Amino acid sequence: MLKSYSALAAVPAVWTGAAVHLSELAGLSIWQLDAWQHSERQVCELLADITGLDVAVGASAVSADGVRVLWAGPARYWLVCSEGHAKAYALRAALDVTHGSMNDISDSRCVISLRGPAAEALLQGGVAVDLHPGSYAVQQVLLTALGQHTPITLQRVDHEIFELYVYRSYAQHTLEWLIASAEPFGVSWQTQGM
Amino acid sequence: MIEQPFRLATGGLVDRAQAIDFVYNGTYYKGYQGDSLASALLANGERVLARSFKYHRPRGVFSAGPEEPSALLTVGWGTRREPNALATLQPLYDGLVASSQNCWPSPRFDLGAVNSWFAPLLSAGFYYKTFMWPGHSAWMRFEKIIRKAAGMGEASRAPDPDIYRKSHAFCDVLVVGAGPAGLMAAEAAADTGARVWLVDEQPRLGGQLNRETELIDGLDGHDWAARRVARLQKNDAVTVLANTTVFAAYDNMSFGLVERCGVLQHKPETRQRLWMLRASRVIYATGAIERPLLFADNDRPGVMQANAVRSYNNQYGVSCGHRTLLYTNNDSAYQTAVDLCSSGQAVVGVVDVRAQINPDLAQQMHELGVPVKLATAVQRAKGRQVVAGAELIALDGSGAAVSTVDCDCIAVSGGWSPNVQLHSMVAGMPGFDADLVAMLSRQLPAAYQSVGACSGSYCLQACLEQGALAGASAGDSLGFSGQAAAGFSGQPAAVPMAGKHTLSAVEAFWQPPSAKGKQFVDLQHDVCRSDIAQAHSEGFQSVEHLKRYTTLGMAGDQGRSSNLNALALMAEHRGVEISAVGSTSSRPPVSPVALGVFGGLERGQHFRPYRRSPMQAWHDARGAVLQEAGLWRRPQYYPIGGESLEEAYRREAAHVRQKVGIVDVSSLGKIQINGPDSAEFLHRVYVNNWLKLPVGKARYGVMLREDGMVLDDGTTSRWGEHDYLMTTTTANAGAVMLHLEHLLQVVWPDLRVRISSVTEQWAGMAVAGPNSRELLQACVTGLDLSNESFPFMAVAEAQIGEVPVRLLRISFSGELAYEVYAPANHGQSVWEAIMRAGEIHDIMPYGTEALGALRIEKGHVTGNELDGRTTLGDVGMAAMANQNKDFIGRMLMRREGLVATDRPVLSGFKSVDPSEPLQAGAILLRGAEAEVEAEKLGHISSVTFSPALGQHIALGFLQQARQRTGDRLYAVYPLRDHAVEVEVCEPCFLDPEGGRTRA
Repeated sequence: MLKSYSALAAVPAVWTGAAVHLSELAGLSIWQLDAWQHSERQVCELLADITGLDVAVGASAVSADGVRVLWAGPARYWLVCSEGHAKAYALRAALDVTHGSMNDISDSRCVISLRGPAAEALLQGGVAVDLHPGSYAVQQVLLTALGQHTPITLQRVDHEIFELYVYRSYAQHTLEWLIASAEPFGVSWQTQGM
Repeated sequence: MIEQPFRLATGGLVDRAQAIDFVYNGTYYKGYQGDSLASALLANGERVLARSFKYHRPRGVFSAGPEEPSALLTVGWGTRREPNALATLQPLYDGLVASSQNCWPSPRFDLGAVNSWFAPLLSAGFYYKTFMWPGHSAWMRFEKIIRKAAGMGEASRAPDPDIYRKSHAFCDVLVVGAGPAGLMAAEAAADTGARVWLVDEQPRLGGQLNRETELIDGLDGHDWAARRVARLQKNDAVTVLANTTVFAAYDNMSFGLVERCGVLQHKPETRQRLWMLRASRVIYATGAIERPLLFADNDRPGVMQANAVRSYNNQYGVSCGHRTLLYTNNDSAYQTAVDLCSSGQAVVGVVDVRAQINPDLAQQMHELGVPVKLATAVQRAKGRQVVAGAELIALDGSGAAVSTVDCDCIAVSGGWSPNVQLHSMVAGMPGFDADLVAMLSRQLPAAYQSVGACSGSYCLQACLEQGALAGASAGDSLGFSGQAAAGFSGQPAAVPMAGKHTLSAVEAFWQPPSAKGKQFVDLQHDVCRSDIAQAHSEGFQSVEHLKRYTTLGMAGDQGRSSNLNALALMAEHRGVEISAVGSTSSRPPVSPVALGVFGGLERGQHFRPYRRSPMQAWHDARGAVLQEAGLWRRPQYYPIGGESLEEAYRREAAHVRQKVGIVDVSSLGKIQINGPDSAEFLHRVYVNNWLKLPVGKARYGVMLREDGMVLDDGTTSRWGEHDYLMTTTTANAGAVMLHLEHLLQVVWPDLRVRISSVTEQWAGMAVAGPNSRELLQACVTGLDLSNESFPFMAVAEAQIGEVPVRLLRISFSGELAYEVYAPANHGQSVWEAIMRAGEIHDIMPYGTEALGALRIEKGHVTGNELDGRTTLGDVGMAAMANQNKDFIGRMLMRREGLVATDRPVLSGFKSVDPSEPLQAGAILLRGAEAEVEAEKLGHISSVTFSPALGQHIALGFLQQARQRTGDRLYAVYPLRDHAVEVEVCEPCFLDPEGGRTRA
């Protein structure tokens, strides 16, 4: 098998402090499920059946045992799991074309993890949505933009942990922006697996 | 030399144990921690700090706050010098370097002061009337001299080396101003459990409490404020920002804040931060500023606000003069006499324009030994550079002779003007309140509250009560019920009791007695009382005309201390009430904001995103020259040795025609289309037929906009029963995606189709040239690439090095070619695998320039031709439209103008002299001269040198192009005085039968 290249490989390691730790979550599979009009409920039920998660229509995110279902837009969900996860293939096989479709978009996104006490403040520098825990709870997913130009999907995984799904072509720019923006806090960056 | 000769022996909130060295105009001085630059300069006896904007008159410190119109200095040096810094807001720090501006060689002796000699020529609007002779161009010459003589400080011309940052922020309650009312409001709101932001532009929070001597709950006001601030700072739900100005109130409760975080050092990590704050409730506690009174030479250094003199005495332990005269029309100035006397300073008297005052005040002054002159006005300040006395005149109509008072400081109070600039950004223009003699904003929307002095309430106890009530009600209105943040007491603070009340009985006094000397209304822009009179006499009587004709209120201080005096003068001239004159509206910013802060980090490499191809590292390593294509930077060419662009792309294009080349096409838009109704959807979007495209095939399609113009073209391939992949041009990827989403969501929501952008999922590369099949067959597994098995427009999945790839036999170059799409993370390794396999075929990477040459040779259109102004017919594809179906744009493409037979249509052009290059954008004319009346037959859209033909060629649009084949015209580019004779030909220059493509 030929080598896989990370979109962030060219960004050198950084250590100016530990207020925000940035890392890449590599080796993830992202499957996008789209429901047709009036069939979102069936798609969610199928997701629930296959993953064992409580996937309700419009639910922001649910996860367990390394499998995560994220809301990714109107009648659109992402199944995020480790590469080659059996549940993804089971889901694909079970999805009825009269209800929706499913596509592998794993290579289209880079997933950057932000951990640390300053992670929220760092993101708030570029995200025009209130990230205070009272407004943006753990597990919740946002489709928004970082800065003025970069579309992102953002999930608050824990109080001080965020995962940022960014289009692959924007990934290096986004990481460099995050590192530059995090300088006042103190930041570290290194690549790592999930 | 005595160190700090005007520093009082005791008193003030400065830390005398921490001496600070700073430099002003090249001389070392000392101050203390807690000083402002202004207080430190005053302590050192520096009175003349600057020269005025127009007349170059000596100016000194006038205020102690953000309204300062005169003490504008340049702080810092080199590339980090900041002009027009307010000395009154600039905290002192070790090593601070400040210099005077608008003067040479020094503020005390300034050659520019000759401007005063020409003052009669420099009255309001002088530039409309004077310096216009001799000749029309005279002003252009004089303007440069006048501009050089006038103005403020000078910024560095070098790029700004400082770092600015931006951030969004959100809160439940925003409190603007941390004086007594603001502190109480913030505390009361926080006690409800609301998320609170408390913002103040001063370095020390507390507002007037730091300047006054009043007690609250038995504590000094500043001590009470410090405890309140400390309590708020312990609350995780409260953000407290000093040195921060709310410079704008926008719609939907959005506010612009600039935090001067680097104000305490020359080279800060971050100089300023822009906060874009959204609040659910806002409480303005912005206070009020003291107005001056007019008299001749009222701009002399030493003429100051009465409360500023009090501030320097109480907050900084600095004396503003050895003999201070107070001049007022209200009660508040008397407190200055009390405080100065308490610190042992000489107050030579109080001059009050009122005929009667509160007997208690009179008694208090008597006990202090301060003489009070009622019904008297200051007619003129004496002294050439600084105040050396005051001429007084009785106002009782007795015609009493002018008397003189020996003083070096005149502390003036003309009443108080509430700071309502932010109010009026959301509530419209303020109105005049005759009782308070002030402009007030009383029509705030429900989510806004105004408390304290900015609402016209000058009583300290009332300010505290208003603040507490406003804070609590703001929290309550948002549903908070006292559930405070963890670690915070959650106990609502009782409204404290102030030791005494400050009431201000003010008497309007707008028309001072005339005397020789200028009476300045707007100190910062040198607008005088006579300028107002002139504006009136010349018909500029509307407040908006007054402002623009005289430049009143247009300086950095936005006329905070001058506007009402000017309005009152104009009212007098017009014989109307002040309320009838009106007021100008406030617009952001309230005070100057560095432009850099709006850019933040978005400069240099962060100016905008740089989208990278999966093979970007490979291109960079091979020294590719990159070309911007939207946010992408695509390899334009790969120079070998010292090759120029011309040499490189000709080599690359020729190589593709002869052997094989590979080009990165990852930036092409790629849209996944899924669903049982996908074919029907495509059928409605594209002009041609899509119902019968079999699985495993691709088809070229063109889509129109609703108005009948071509939107984009590209191929769409069918990979499964309900699975299509559309490609778009790089430039139109976003527009096409939006177009399709709009159609699916709004026009045909019933179609069971979903689309998603997969541009990022797939790395794309085109392998083109006669050897491409042989090359790819050597590295592709699972697919027979022979012409029989995999003909032109076939698509199939295969593997390269075990990586699943998609192959499409399509060609943009006009050669035998394949597009290979690999999952993006494997894009570079697949590219490298192809390069390795291609070594024996002499494979060569080529860039967009060669790609352009190849497609022009073939007559393929791109964005240059599909520029939003062309129809199907224009690009020679009218026959492609299926007339038996509906598609987007079908109706409007038949409009009369769009089917006119004289529309320019796609055509090819060759230089008659094969070596002569053509210019895109050139106009096609019959002759070489670009005369206005010349008939324009068309234009050139794309140009290149064709290695295959050995000459320069072009695509373009020409009227009656088919009839003109073989004709000779001129491609004229008037901007460069460039004309080339061209021969009209078919747009496809090479292999019109497509034999190479289908080989």
